[in-house]
Amino acid sequence: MTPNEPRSWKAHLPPGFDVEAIDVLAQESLPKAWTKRWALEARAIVALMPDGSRLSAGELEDRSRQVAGRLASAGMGPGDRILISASASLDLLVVYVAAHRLGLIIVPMNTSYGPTEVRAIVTNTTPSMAVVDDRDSVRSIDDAADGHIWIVGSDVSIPTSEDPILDKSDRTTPALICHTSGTTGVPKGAVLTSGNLLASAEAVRLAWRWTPDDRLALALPLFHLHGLGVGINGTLLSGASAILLGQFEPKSLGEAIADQSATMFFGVPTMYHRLAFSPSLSQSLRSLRLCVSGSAPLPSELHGRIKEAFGQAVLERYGMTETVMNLSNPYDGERRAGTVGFPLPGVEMRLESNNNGVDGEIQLRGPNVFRGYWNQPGATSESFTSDGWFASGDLAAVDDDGYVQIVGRSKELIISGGYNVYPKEIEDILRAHGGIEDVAVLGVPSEEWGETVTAVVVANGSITADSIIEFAAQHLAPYKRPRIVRFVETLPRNALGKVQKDLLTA
Amino acid sequence: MGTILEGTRVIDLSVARAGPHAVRQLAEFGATVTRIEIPNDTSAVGQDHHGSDYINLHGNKRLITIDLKQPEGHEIFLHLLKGADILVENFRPPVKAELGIAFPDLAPLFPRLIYASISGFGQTGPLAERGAVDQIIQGSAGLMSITGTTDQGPTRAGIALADMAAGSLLTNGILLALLDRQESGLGQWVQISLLEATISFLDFQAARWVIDGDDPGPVGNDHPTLTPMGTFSASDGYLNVAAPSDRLWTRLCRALDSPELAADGAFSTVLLRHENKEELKKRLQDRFSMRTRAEWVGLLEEAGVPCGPVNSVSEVFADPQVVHLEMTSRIDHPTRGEISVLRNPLTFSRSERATKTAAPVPSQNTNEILEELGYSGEHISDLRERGVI
Repeated sequence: MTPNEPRSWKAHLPPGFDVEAIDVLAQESLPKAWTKRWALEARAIVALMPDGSRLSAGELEDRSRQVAGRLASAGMGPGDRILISASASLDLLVVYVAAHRLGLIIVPMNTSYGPTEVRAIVTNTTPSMAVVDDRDSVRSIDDAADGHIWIVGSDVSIPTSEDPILDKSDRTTPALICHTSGTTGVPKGAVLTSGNLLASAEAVRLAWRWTPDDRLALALPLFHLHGLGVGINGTLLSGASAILLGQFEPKSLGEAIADQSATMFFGVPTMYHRLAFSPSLSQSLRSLRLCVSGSAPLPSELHGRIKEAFGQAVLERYGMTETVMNLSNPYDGERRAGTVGFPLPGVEMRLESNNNGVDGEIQLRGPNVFRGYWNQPGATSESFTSDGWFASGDLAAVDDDGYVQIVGRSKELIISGGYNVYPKEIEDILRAHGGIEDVAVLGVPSEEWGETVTAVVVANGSITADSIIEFAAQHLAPYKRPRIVRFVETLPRNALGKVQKDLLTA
Repeated sequence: MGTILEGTRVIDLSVARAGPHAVRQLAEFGATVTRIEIPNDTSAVGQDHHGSDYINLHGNKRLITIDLKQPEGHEIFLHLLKGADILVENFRPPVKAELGIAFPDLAPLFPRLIYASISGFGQTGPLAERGAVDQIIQGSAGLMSITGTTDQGPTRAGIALADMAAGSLLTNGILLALLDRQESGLGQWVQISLLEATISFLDFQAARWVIDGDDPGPVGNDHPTLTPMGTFSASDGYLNVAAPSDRLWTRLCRALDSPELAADGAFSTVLLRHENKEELKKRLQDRFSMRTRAEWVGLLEEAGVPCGPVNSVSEVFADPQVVHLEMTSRIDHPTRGEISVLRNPLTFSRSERATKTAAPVPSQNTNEILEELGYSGEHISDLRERGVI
């Protein structure tokens, strides 16, 4: 028995569309594609702030050129790393674009990182400049770099003497080093080329019918691929606009959608969870053309609740740091809850089958797929199969209609008594227990079983380990039932809400 | 004084002659070259690491054996590239893609790397996936059709001309890319094929076709368009003579003591001499067979007519001028003892060539290179046991 094949990426496009003519790399690189777009309509608004300030395409072209000149005056040139870790603003958008145009390699970094995390990233990527707006970050970056770094604010106030060469990047030029979320061990810096980023932005532009008329309510941070690689890159490529909210807060999101006529919202499941409990946003959320979810699995139940409350069938898609955007539910046709749809234009996917012939590891190839980690030859060589596919580490099954369902991380896979146990399945079951607020399931080494299924639980009121095991017994095969239950106050989560299981096992 | 490429690091993945020739030129000016071979490979031609050809091609290089097909081998390769400026390779396009070492695989991770490729027919196009060797290209590029005589049929040049042309041009390309990198900060992909290199070396013969529509054929030892310029037989050996212009022609006639040739209207202009070349060659040959090669060279030089003996290779190295130029130097080779090796033909007023060192034998430097990369002795033994190195 072999797993089902995912539906073809061609199913993302409307009938009559010339799919054979699609080349997601036709424009070669982001800066080449962006500048071409700006030239078409210089007066078009590309970005807005909640306070009403805005930036047009012509202004972005002009200001990014100026800032690129300042960066060049500071000695920055193609291939040099620039660390960016600041809150969303028009200035930050300008630096981001300027860095792309100058051929710098952007290293986005979470603004909430402490000295240890900062040191890991600075040591790995040796940036020559950092753009930050937080005093603590300045200190830890300066310490980590041993003083050998320019640290500037988002306005990049450096005198200009250079008229730099711009927009020379091609599909092989490294543009971004994105560190993996770190749900498994030490962060690794995935190098994404301007071609990888273009391919993904172009794929979602086509699949989600992104047009210049769209306006994205962007509440995601601009130090992560979801906000940058999908939100910003897609907006600029489509000639659309984005409202840079800086942070997620349901009330201000609702106001921004209503006051500034947003048509789209991209969020992570945690955001949708909060929105589900914000009935007052009904009107503004109903007015949107498209709601997209990613970065973590969207529970089917939440998908249903959002649909019921706001009439929005959230479109769930699947991306990774190493590959930007991979799979997506369709814009037209059923957006199937609990699945991530099928490959986006240009993306090739296969399942490296497990012995059971039903599911397997997702392996990917295509113009969106990175070529390795910065300074980590070992991790690079390990992450590709001998025939050159990226081994994602995510386990999936494909249903009879070709929709892909993520069933877990292969690294998180628990093998107990010779049986494969997927933590996600157990977690989904246990979440239905009224006394459990949050749960993470993992394997603990065991002489008898190889690994023992263990549930780490945040209790909601008083509840015993026995009652949880009993509850599991009602719903799960014996080998899947947790044998150990540990209670904790909270689960450690990263900035995007993913549980950091390595911290639980430690 | 000092070598020009000191501090420049080259990784050499190339096999056969063209790539190694390109790399040799960098090594001879002080680049640090690490050559990679497949462990225990006895299948390839030129695997005799003690033969003259190998010694001549691979001096001044260090050698590490790595199986790039194994993930740990690939990892070592990526480690080596971290400090490298230049990579030279001649894999066919599908092979390098499969190994994960094609330009698009490496450029994102090593933006300053100059990736230099040699192929048979080019990296793209209908023949891109086909390999080639010098012999094949001497035919495909037209060189054999214009070498030798009509009677003999197509003739191959006595050296691997396609390989040498491609290797030499690739070195030019690499140095240009290094120059560009000083400004741009970025490496790039430099490509040459044996086919393109040999076609470019056809030079005026190719121009006769592309500009004049004149399809050249073989003309033996004669210059295809100028007369007299060719080889003549003296009483004891061969010599070359070049006297096509009116001025040189007059001098030649005087040196040959042949006033009747000088006065002959059939040979009075450049064009007429070429038109009547067969008759002219016959009349000149009659004269040249009357004296020895040395006598003729003496007489012609005195008259100011370009000429020279047709030497055997052994005669070349006995020639006083060649001796004066010190084309060879003595080195100690671990198995061949003290031997002579050729030097790089370029001379600079301020910069030195690197001192010649013996070509490495397999595994000679594997441990030392891996240790430099931080591999422990135990790890190295384990890798060797499992055939990774």
